[in-house]
Amino acid sequence: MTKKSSNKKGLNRRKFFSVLTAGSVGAFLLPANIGKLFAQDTADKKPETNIAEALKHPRTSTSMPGKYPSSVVKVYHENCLSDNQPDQEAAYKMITSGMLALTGEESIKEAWSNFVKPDEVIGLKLNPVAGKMLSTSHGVVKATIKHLEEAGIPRENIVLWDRREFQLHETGFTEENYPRIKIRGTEIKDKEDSFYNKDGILYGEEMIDKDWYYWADVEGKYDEHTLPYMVNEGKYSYFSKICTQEVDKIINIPILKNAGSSITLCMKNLGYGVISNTGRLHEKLWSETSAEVCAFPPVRDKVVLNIVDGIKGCFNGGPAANPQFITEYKTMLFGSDAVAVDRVGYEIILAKRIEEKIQEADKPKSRQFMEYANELGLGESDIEKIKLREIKLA
Amino acid sequence: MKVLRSIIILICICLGFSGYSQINIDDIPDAKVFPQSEYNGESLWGYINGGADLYLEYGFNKLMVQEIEWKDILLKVNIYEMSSEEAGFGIFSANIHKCKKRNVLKEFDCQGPYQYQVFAGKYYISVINEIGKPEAEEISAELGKILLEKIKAVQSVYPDLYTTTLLKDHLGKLKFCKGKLGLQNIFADWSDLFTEIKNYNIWLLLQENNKIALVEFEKKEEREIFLTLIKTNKVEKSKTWKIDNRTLILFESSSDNTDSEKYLQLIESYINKN
Repeated sequence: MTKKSSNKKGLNRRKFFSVLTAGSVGAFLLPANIGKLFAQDTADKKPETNIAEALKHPRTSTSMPGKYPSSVVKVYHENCLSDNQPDQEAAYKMITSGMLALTGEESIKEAWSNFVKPDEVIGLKLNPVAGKMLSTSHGVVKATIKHLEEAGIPRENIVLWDRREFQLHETGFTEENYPRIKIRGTEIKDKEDSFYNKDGILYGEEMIDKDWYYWADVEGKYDEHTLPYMVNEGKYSYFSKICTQEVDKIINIPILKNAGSSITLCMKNLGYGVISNTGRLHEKLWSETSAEVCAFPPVRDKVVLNIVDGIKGCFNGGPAANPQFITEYKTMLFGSDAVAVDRVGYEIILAKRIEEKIQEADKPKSRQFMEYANELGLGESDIEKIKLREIKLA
Repeated sequence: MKVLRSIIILICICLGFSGYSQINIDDIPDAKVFPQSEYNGESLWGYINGGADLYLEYGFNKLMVQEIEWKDILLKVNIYEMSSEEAGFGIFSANIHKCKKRNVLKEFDCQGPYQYQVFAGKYYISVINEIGKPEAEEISAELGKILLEKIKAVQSVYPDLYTTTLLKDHLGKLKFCKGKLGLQNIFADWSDLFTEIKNYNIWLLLQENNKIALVEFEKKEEREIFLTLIKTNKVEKSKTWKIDNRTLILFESSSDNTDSEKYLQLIESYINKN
């Protein structure tokens, strides 16, 4: 994988817009209407970002939207909960059905070989941020690991990861529960509950890769309590070394959750999950960050598969967990196209929000990040163009 | 601001908050009590990441988190100290939905299988259990009772429009928000109407067939922008009344609501009185 040039700031959005106007786009191809979106953003006075720098990198055979663009498989299993928790055996069957339908292969081993190889290090990007009640479930994670092992991936080559290592531990992703599998996080606490090493440096500092960054013209400034969760301040968000250096491929396993009237699913799990200094990005660049971070090669070229854990999810109050809004969707989604998977997940959550009378109709603004991701060439956001296959398991 | 000034205090057991002191072993001798963690405005972000924004939008002071193991059930207590009683009510109203049981220990509480929630002045309390069984539900409320006694001060505040005869029985459906995230959580369909407006307070009685909102804007001009948007968006069967310089009442009714005339009369009579 090519690393970024030493031009620290890179092209900002305004400069990029000029480049487009001058017709010197160069090596990267863009959809014809991308200028319209940027023009609109300029009118809204959106802060500039270094998205143009990301788009300079030539695409590879594994770049998003991956092997199966515009394809999503939705698997529903009536009896996928056991003692109110996602059941590993049911999840295993759901994964089998989903993977075979997605790839069109006849054997499950062949299906997996479209995404991963035995000598690769595979990162499973989880989402434990809402705590035990609404974390990526153990049923789904353990079933995925079983599948990977059967596909020839040794346990030693599997990494469970997220931003916060301690949140993974708190939600049960421990060495004890997952022997021989690495549990990694960018933000780390030691056994004394300290974020800082003996030299007073944040452990998180050692986990960020300063060669890869998302720059946005929004300053992050944090107090002493918050800084360890953000790793650094300023206008740069650095990619985690777990993403840039430690894993070869990423399987993204978010949970089916809302974020206001939008969703926090595949792209949000990546956009806000693989970089530091995210607190500054929520207010003005929520949609942009979710899409743009996925356009950087460490994410764009490594995320080969998305498996949405929607056995339990939420329809309001997300991304936090509020029991009243947690529901049993009994569903998993599969796709290499993160944008298309997000769009299908969005429809599921929207339908539930309407049923629960939290809203009466779709709100197109809530889909903005998917449409932007589509314009960045990351996947399909138009529901009419998505090939959705639905499977019901008894 | 006559209407909002006439906000009433319904219950006032003790004025002047003495603050909350954490649960200790003396409160529940047969329980295992874990140490309490505290999060302030900024560190809340570290604790619940993007979920913090909703609390910060309402106005947040601190969060106290404590785990208690009682009768073999692990309970997680979250006590949010908000910046005002309105903020306490608002975050409570955003967090409740189709309560299985209401008014279990006091007005404005909500009992579900996994959670007991209550609004107590500027505090919003949530007691969560992980098993959702009847015994866990019962013990969550029992712990809620202990917490309410420790907080001592219990106040409820909302505009007196909602205490009128026709509406007072529906107070459980009253919501309060003061920003886009609150609105997205409470009634997302209106969020486009407020896109251009920076600061506002919305009291909203959200009923099956109608909505009665009291909206306070920061500036008179913003109220005018809102009224234009209402017209542009052709919000069906809606009617607005201006009150003082920055406030209005908005009534929205579904087309099959045969009671709408009753509500219109009520609002008009309320306005005449004020």
